[in-house]
Amino acid sequence: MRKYLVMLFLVVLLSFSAFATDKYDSELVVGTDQNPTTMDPAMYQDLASSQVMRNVFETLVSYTADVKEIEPVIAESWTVSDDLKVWTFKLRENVFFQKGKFQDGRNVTAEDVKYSFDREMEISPMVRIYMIDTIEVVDTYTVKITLQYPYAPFLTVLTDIGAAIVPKEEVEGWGDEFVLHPIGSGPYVLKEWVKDDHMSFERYEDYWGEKPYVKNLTYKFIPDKAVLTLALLSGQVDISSDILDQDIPKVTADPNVEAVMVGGNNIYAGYMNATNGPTTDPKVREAIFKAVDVTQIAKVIFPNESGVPAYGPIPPGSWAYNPDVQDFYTPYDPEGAKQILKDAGYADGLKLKMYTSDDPNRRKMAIVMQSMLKQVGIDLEVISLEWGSFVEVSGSGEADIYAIGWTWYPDPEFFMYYMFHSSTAGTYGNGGRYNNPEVDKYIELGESSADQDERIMYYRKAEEHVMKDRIFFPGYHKLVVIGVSDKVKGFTVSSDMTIRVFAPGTNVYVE
Amino acid sequence: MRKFIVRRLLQIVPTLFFVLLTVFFLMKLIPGDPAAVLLGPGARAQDIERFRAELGLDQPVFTQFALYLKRVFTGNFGKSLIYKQDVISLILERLPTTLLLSVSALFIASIIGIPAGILAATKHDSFVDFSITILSLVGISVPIFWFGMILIIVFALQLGWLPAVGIGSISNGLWDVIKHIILPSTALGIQSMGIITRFTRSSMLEVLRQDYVRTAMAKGLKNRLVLYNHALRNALVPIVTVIGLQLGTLLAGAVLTETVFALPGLGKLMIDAILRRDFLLVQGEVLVIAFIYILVNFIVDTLYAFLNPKIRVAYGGSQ
Repeated sequence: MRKYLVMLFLVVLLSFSAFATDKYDSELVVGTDQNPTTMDPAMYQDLASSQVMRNVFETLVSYTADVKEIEPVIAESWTVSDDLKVWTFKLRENVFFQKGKFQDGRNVTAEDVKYSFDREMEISPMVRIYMIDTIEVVDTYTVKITLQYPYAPFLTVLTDIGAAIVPKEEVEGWGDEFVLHPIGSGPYVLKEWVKDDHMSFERYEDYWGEKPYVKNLTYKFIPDKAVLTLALLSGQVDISSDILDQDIPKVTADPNVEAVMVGGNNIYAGYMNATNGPTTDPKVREAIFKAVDVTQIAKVIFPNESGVPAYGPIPPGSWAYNPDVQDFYTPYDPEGAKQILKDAGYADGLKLKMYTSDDPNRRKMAIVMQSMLKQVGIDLEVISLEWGSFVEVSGSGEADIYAIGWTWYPDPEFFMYYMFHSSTAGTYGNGGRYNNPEVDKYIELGESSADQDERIMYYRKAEEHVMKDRIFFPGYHKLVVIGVSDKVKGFTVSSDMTIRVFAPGTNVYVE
Repeated sequence: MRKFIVRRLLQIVPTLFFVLLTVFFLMKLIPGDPAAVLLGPGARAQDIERFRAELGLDQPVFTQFALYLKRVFTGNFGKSLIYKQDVISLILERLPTTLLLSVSALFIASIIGIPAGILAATKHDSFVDFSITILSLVGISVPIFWFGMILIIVFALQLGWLPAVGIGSISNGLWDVIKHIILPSTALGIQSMGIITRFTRSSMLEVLRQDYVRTAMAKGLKNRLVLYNHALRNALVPIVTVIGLQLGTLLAGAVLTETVFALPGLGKLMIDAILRRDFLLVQGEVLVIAFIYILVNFIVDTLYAFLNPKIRVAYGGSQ
């Protein structure tokens, strides 16, 4: 009997040790519906590219996988001046670039930070670190960055892959070809890139930090979301981005996969015109708020509950989300709406035009609004355009209402400033050309305050004003729904829709 | 004959010029500023302005066209705005996938369509004929993306015989490529299959009614011999024409098929380029596709002229 027990013990032990080494041989296939276009951090403009670049390149600081905390990566620590203008970063001394053709895996230094940021500001079509004024190399591992004005969310900006640190020798050595031979300080090297099909990465064995479990990491690009879900169910991919609401039951019915949902950093809304047409009349806007039952919008678009009704622009995924946001919301009251329209001289009815992109959810939102507004005598014409044309119309001030969708970092600045500050009037974010000096004031205070609680207060104040002006009809917040095979362990769904295989505090493996 | 070929070759140049002219100005007519679309929703006005200037979009349209034309004549199609790489190399990377897809779709369509058509014609007015006619009608009417999805659900998900998406790699052996291409080329070929079936059937029926077929039968030749040696040969000429014409349809259908099956081909590239207003890529791609199409037509025409003296004479050519 004892002999058997010992043998059993040995077998269990062996299988565990075998398992332990297996972890480091993990192979993972991530399926996404978006296709990356570049592997040069200074050149990228889309989420899909930033997601794959995170494997090769690193930034000074980075978000944890749940997009809640900012953690040091290349930087070890930092200090900021009281006026929030001078940021000094101390770099780790043990960070190395990957070995390449033009350098042999040397240290990452302050000079590299200066070179990378200067390059981003000079050649990037969309400069993400535009608030920087000067960059000064203090010593080999210390860099001092001075901003043009106080900017509290600067660390958030630095987590963007556009602010990745790149080696000068490789960038200049490869020239235009750098995009095909990307070299950074990250845990993976690019092995193969078959455009529009797949991209594969191999673990860089001399990586300076913690060793990632996944050895071979592949991204498969499957543009049709329904087919992407089928690829997940058939086992061709292990993680799949963005499951459609209608496909959720298919995924939950399969015992081998799971649809994981978290609150997203996004808002979808009807932005009304503040400078042109009937919506400039506050009475009309009030009537629209009273006529539309926002809970119905979410019910129609998300029968499987992958979206929730919205009552304000700041999403639940943000740390500035106000749980009491409904306090300033104008509740559903169709009889009241009719009365207001009658008093305002629109007893004979009113015609409005709403533009939307061809995104099915936004179209549904517009159609629900159309049918509800009809009840109170507002005739809403819904015009659906493909993305490029839609963006042009939204910024032009032609639309009475346009269906805006906005998604970014959890810092409220990326919602409030870009959608409601008067300096952004006429862009896609503020196509309603909203201009309220009070709101501007609170957003600017939020930008220049160092204290998080104070910032929350300022942004909430700004939000309150926006909701009281009723210029922005919040529709819904979409949840991030990621399909995950049960073989995948240690994975956290990120509210910014990036799939993070390896990040501060996260190291995914496959069983 | 040589005169005919030279004349047809000379026609290619103005045709391509008009293709280029049309697509260039069409791209200007679509609303949506390329710089704004490419930079995305969060872009600041000054970034968009700067990018426009970099792309030369701040210049008059005709100047832009003249500059583009000049570059194209020196073989420079420019760099893609989304991929920052040479347009021509992006196209050449994807061309093999689309050609493989179209040719295998045509192959599947023909290898099933022609025998089915013959069968229907020989069993004229029977249950078999009836079923084949109905099925071919279904094949013509079925939407590619829906049929593609059904194929994936049945053969990849339920049965697990074939992969759902992707193109496979020749480094994993020929079978890897074949098993990846079966479902997409079936989805893409189904319409052509229907058309070829119906065409073969009617063409065969027509030939079978001809006097010489009756004579052959009367002579006491075996049924099979009459069918394949006498009837089919003559019926095949118009069928081959239809098959040639299908190539254009297939290139267009490749756009949908490539999206459903996630294949890295020209169709997928074209959709991305149009949606993101990558005008240099769109122009380059249209030019290449037009060139392929014209080339195929030219080859078919030349073959006809070679086979059929009447066409040669019409063009005033001698031997």
